[in-house]
Amino acid sequence: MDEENLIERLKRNDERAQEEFIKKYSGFLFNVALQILRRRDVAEDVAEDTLLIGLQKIKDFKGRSKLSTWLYRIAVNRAKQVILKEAREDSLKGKLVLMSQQTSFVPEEYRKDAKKEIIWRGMDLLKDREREIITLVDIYGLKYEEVAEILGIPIGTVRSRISRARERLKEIIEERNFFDTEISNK
Amino acid sequence: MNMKKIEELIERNVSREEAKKLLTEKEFKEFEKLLYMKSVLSEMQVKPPTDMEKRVLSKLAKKEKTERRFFGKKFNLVFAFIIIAVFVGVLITRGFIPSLSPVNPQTQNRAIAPPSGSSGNAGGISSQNKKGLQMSSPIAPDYLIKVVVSTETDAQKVRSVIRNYCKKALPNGICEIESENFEEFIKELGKYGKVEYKENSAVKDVTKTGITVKVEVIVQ
Repeated sequence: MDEENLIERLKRNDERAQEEFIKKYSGFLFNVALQILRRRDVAEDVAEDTLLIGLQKIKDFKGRSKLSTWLYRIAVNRAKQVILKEAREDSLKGKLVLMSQQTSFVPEEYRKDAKKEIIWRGMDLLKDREREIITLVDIYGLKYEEVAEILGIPIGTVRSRISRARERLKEIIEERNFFDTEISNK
Repeated sequence: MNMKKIEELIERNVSREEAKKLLTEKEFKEFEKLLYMKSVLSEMQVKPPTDMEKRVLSKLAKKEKTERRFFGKKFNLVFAFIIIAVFVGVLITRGFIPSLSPVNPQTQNRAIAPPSGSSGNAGGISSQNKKGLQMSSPIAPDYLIKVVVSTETDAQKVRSVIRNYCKKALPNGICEIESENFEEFIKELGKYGKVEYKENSAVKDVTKTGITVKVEVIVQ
């Protein structure tokens, strides 16, 4: 109901609704873009572009899915475009390195926390699909039903995919002594 | 180890105490590891820059402005095109572009011819209009002829002579006769009365082959 109301107001170019829309989805879209792109600057650009596209194309939004699903798809497509563009430019320069494979960047927030940094670097080694589902379920706390809608997959697939992704991540960070202190203290 | 069971308990948000009862020691250890990893992950949301809202709104305003300007320009172009089209249309219909004009130039010239009933010399016409007549008008005659007769019978005979020599009747009582017959025509008219004629020097139609005359018959 709230979402319907927000969409209606956005379609009327209500400025308050636009502010509300940006506040509500900027974090989600930024984190989604960050986990795909692994770089803060481009993630910011992708999140901004997605919000802008969302505001401009809201009149075309038919409400067949949730607003978050629609925006998520726009963000993922934009992020993929950025990766392809950079890959093309890199290949022209003679170095084919995908942005998602660059591991040098660690967000400021994680640098202060060793555990978070280990997880961030561990996630670098995950497949895109695995990182995607961990972002939605564990980092952003979405329910399986919501994730199933966003990704357009059955809920059973969400379950199996998140289980595998967690298991993989656990193995990776375990090698880096992630659990050594915490678990043994309990 | 039953991973499915562990995942199920995590999904249901089962407490550590309850999980301990339901799982084996090994499974519980795994459960704890996953739970801890999950708790760290849940704190890993990165805050977007605080000015993102401002930036998006300003980008939106800029885009809308650009779009408005683009549509404005487009509208101006269409408007200018319509004005030019109307202007060209007026020029064509008014005959300012002769090759495109639907108006017959003959008709146009007739429009500036002297009004009916006035003398062939068209005294009221300006010199500019006379030039126009010179070029193509068959209306102003080359000669104005006055025949003074004494009876109505002679007048009819004079009119009959005119009809005989007239190879082409033109408006305003003007006749075109063959050039070589002009002298003979004057002689014939002279048989029935006194003939006076004068050449209309101002008006000359260089395109015609004959001589145009206007004959005034006066019964005295």
